[in-house]
Amino acid sequence: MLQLLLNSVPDIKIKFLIVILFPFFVWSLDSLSMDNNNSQPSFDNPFTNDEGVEGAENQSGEESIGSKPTDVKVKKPPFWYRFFHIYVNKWQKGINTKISTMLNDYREHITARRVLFIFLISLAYSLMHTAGPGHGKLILSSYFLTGEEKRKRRDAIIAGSIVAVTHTGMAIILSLPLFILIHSFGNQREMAEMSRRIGGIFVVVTGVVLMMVTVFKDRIKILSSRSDREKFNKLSLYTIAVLSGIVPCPLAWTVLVFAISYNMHLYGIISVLGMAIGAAITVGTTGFLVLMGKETALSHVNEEYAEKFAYNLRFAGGFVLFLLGIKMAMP
Amino acid sequence: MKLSELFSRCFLATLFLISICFGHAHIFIDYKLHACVSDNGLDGVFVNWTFDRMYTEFLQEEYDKNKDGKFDKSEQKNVFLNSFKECKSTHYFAVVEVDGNNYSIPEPTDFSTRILKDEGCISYTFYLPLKIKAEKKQKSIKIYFFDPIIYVSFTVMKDDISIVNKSKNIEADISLKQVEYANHATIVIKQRS
Repeated sequence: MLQLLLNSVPDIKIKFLIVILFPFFVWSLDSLSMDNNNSQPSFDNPFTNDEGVEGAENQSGEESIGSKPTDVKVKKPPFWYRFFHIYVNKWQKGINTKISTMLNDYREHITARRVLFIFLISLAYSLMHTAGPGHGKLILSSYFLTGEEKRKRRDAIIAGSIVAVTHTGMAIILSLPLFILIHSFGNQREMAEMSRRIGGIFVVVTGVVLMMVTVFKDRIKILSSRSDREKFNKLSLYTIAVLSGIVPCPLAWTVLVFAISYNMHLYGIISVLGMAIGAAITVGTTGFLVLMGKETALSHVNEEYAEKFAYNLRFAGGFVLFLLGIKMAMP
Repeated sequence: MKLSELFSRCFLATLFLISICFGHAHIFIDYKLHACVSDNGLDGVFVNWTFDRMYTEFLQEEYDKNKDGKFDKSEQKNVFLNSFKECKSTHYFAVVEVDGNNYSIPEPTDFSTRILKDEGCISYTFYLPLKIKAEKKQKSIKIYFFDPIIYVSFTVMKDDISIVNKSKNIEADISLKQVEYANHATIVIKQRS
């Protein structure tokens, strides 16, 4: 190759340059080919012999640049939570596996004892699960801060039950037709997303209405009498409770889908019922405690400031509802 | 102590308990890692996610359209586009730290999915081409999967991590460490002198 190059060039100076540079040229070609070999090593996939899905290769068509330092911080849970997480998670995972195994094992013979066992374990699971974020606890708690009329403690129990029934009921309503009209029914996630957003819009409206009622209470003629205000309170309580629970419970949904796909409708319904009651207890207790807290806080404030303090609490409750609604309605 | 004071204290205690009982997982994933070391350093890791049985049923209902108990190519592609790619915004829940510094997550390749007959669970497999160069100074690379809102809960066990080293110039090792909220694999790479 070098001989060919030298023969094709007449100038002696260029021939000299070619002789000098040729070793570098060969070396660079060699190293380039080594780099190429190194950048595409062949490693066997230990988990499967399947080929990758078509289109699952790098979407840009360029060679991956790999992992680089980044300023994006990884969100970490609060420090007190980190200690508990592994244990709480292990416990929840254990119960989840237990429910799925039981549903599978028990399908042959239905007995009252088995039904009761599934009901109790589902209830315990739901008590813990509903204590986690979501499930309308914050919305209901914010709501209980609003309202000039003294909210009754039984309202908290009623609201908790409505939230639980709506939350799990939506899962049943959306799951059952899925199996009747499996192919004509829409995507489950999209439907859950849609119901969350629609619910969010209504929560925003409710928050604005409650703030307006707080600020302009003297000018709103329809709320001038005590009975009218009580009616308004009841109506807003039911509305907010239904809206809090409108997003179908993914857990109940998953259990139901699992039970129905294994032809264990009764166990599925019993399990979801246990979950609904567990959710009602947790959500209702939260609302109940918020009411207690509000009453206790107001009783410790001087009468002079109590009115102002209650006004601010009511307005803050409406405002938090407004913000929560925006968060729910956002994509 | 007055009854009202007792209630207010109970209220605060309950709020505290609720905040620490943050565990709210709906999906449980057991994952496995297989690190691949080439002459340049850590080329990448093969990852395997295995879902819990309940969520498996959910996925199967959604994606196994012909109900034959397995995913054919078109169903796999559907899973890839509509389920796996949805995790892009969360960087596929992967966290990579090199010597304590956070690193970006490259686009995964070689995705495939299957229904495991014995366990009755669905698993996803993919490759994360990390391409982290080895140097004479030892590098410590932490890899783990974690969802900060705990909607998805990830678990890895000691037997679920492995390493293959195809280079004679690099020393490499992998180990599993338990931290407060997520176990993580630590890969140590170093150029031989």
